[in-house]
Amino acid sequence: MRKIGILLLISLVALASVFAGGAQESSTAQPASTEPASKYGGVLRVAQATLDYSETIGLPFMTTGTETETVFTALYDKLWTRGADGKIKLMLAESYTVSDDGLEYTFTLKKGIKFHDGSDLTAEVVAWNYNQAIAHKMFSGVSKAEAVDESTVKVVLSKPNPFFLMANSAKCGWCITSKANYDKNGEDYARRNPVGTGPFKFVSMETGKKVVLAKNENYWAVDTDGSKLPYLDGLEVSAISDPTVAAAALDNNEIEVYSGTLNKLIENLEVYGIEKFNVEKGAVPTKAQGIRFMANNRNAKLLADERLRKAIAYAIDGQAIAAAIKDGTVQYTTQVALKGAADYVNDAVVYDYNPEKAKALLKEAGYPDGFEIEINIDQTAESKRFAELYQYYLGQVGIKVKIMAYANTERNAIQDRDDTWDQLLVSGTGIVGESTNVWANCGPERKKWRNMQPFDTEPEWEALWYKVADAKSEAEGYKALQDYFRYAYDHCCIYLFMHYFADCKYSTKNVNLQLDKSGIRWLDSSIAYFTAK
Amino acid sequence: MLRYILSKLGQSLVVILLVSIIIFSIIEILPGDISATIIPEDATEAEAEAIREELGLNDSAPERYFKWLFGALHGDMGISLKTREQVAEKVMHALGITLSFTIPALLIGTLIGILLGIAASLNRGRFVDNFVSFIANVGNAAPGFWIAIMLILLFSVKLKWLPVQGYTPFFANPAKAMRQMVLPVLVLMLPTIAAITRQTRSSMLETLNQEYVRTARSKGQKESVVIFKHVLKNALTPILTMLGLRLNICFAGAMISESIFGIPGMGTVMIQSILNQDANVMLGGAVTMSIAIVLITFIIDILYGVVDPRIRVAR
Repeated sequence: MRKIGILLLISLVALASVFAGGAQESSTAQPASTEPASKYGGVLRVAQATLDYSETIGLPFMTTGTETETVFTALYDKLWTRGADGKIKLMLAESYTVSDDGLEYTFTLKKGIKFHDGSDLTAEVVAWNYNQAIAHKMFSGVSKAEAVDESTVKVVLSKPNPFFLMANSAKCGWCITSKANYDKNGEDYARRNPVGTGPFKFVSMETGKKVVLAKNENYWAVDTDGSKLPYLDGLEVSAISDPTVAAAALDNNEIEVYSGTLNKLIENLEVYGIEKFNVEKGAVPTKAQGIRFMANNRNAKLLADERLRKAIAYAIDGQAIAAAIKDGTVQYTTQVALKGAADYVNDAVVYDYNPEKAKALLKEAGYPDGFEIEINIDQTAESKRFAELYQYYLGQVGIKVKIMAYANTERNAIQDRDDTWDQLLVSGTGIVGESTNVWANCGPERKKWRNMQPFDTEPEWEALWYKVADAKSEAEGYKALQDYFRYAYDHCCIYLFMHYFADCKYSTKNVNLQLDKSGIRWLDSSIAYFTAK
Repeated sequence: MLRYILSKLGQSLVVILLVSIIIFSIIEILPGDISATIIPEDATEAEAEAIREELGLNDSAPERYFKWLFGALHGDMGISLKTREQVAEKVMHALGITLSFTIPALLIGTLIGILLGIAASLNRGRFVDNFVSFIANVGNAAPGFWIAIMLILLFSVKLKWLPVQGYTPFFANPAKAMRQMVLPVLVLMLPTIAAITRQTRSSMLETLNQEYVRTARSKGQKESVVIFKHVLKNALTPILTMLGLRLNICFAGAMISESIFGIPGMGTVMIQSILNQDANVMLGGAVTMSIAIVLITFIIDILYGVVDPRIRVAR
């Protein structure tokens, strides 16, 4: 017994030495100097729910994600992106032209830009990147890219697309990586050792869990005062899937910013004894959420009737829903596009909350006691949350909702099981302002490879869809898009009740961060900096 | 003994094969079209077909299975549908990380559990026995997820002794790696201690009453020799059985630990592959884990023979 006791005691001492082995790791973040004017310095540690695409971090031309991926925006630049105002902003390109037939986009590159490995950014490298992406089927509607000369690259489309720049402004596949790194070290090495032209260069990575980046001392961009960028010395991005753990990590000073939805946790923070954190409000939303009645299917039993669709619109109090979500992460709207964007419809009809009107319309349509309908959602918590709120409001006017959650691939199959499909689809669009995506998905010509039935839309709306498809220029395209969505909103083919910030920024109470409020890149690491306490 | 080993080896191979067929079949009957997660939304029909052809998604199920099996037997489990990287390499790397904390948790938990079980059995009915039994019951009942969060709140948030989460390869920074591993190992260790303690106590009590134990004592042997040489050795067989069962539970628990503590192990890989509907990684990962479990169970089966010669002779 004595020996057992001694053994246990030794074990406890060993354990204690591990615990006591140094105080808690000191924060590697070093806020800027005490002089208020200095923005330089510090390592920003960010956590987000997942680190998608870290497995192809070195090969953006094999990455299907969008540029909301923090690591990609830190490592790489693209020829163009979308600015905070929702408009196209040139990055590595200084100008571009479009051919008269809309098939060729010719970009002139900025001079003197180098990759992290010292190799030059040239048209040949850009063309190689794009052709790799085309070969890996990352782009659609793009035939090839070719270097016209040292600093001019031409992208050739297979068919005209007035929204080509906007639709591709957020895709990781357009990020430019170093050809020299790939050629010298091979694909396997390049996959795990990314080399870009971005504000930060690669240091190390644990796939799917953490990426460590250091400042690119030779970054080409400067701020509005002409000072060098980035301000930060480094960036660490890690994945923390559990919001409780994230809150603990914030409180324990292991990270400065968490990007994710902590709203439920915030209400329970007192239970955990963790103080509230700063919530970044007023940022441009990154997702739109609402009900989409997909494509106005004329053969649907219920929802082919515009009166019933309008009844649904009147029944839901979008403003109350937005206000009820306490963390301030949601703003009420009725359109996919951001106000002020090229595809925003200024004169669209707005169906404000009016349950009496909803009931009147139901009665007029022959459903005085309401009807039963399914809401089809994906398996995210956000969709479920919104669907339950819609279910409540619709229930108040007699519309009984059954919420069905499916995996994404299953949803496609269910949507197409027959052309009498009568469902409401609760879903979000990935990037706010990508109404071209919604337009494509609602179209009469569904992509046949998914074995989808083409929707039988109302002739008038169908004609408007084709006007967008046939547009020759960007201006013509956006005009047609506005008309298309005006019809959709006026006739309740699509409802949208709010924009929300899929990624909310929670920062520790003693650090304030200046973050870019772009809807594309919630964290523009090139301009982020610490401010004094 | 050789016959026994070969027999167990043969059974293990059959089990692995059956597991691969079952998992492949389950993946096949999952609803939805896997290609929809891979092919870009705006791809044309021709582009989509080319991707399907490249990834072998047009082949029939048996054709795909046998192609996979042939490749797996040669160390090639195909490529990830999502990222195009080699599944075998990805999975082996992740497995190594998972084993780096599950095996220590299992071994340390077993050792502590045995010691506590012995202490409880030798002090039956007394405070030590009651206290150990209470701890064991709590450890058995508490869910792993809850234990993890409570440990984080205590050791990281309140006491600030340990980091909340993170993983560092051991050879990159041994001290940091060990500190990051303490909580994940504890999470897996506590239920193991609980289960092994109860089993040890029970086995010990059963064996302590045997006549040969009385004989050994009456011969004047030291109590420690009686306990460890005579009693424990004979009580080990059911404990080994429990160890085998705990291994499966540890792997399952590792998924939770990895998710909470940010460890890029098999659990993370499997969860990601399920969310991405990456069939090749799901299959490769599940088969690799089953191989690991079968192998370790095989070792435990061999240990039965070592611990109890009667088993060897009987076989």
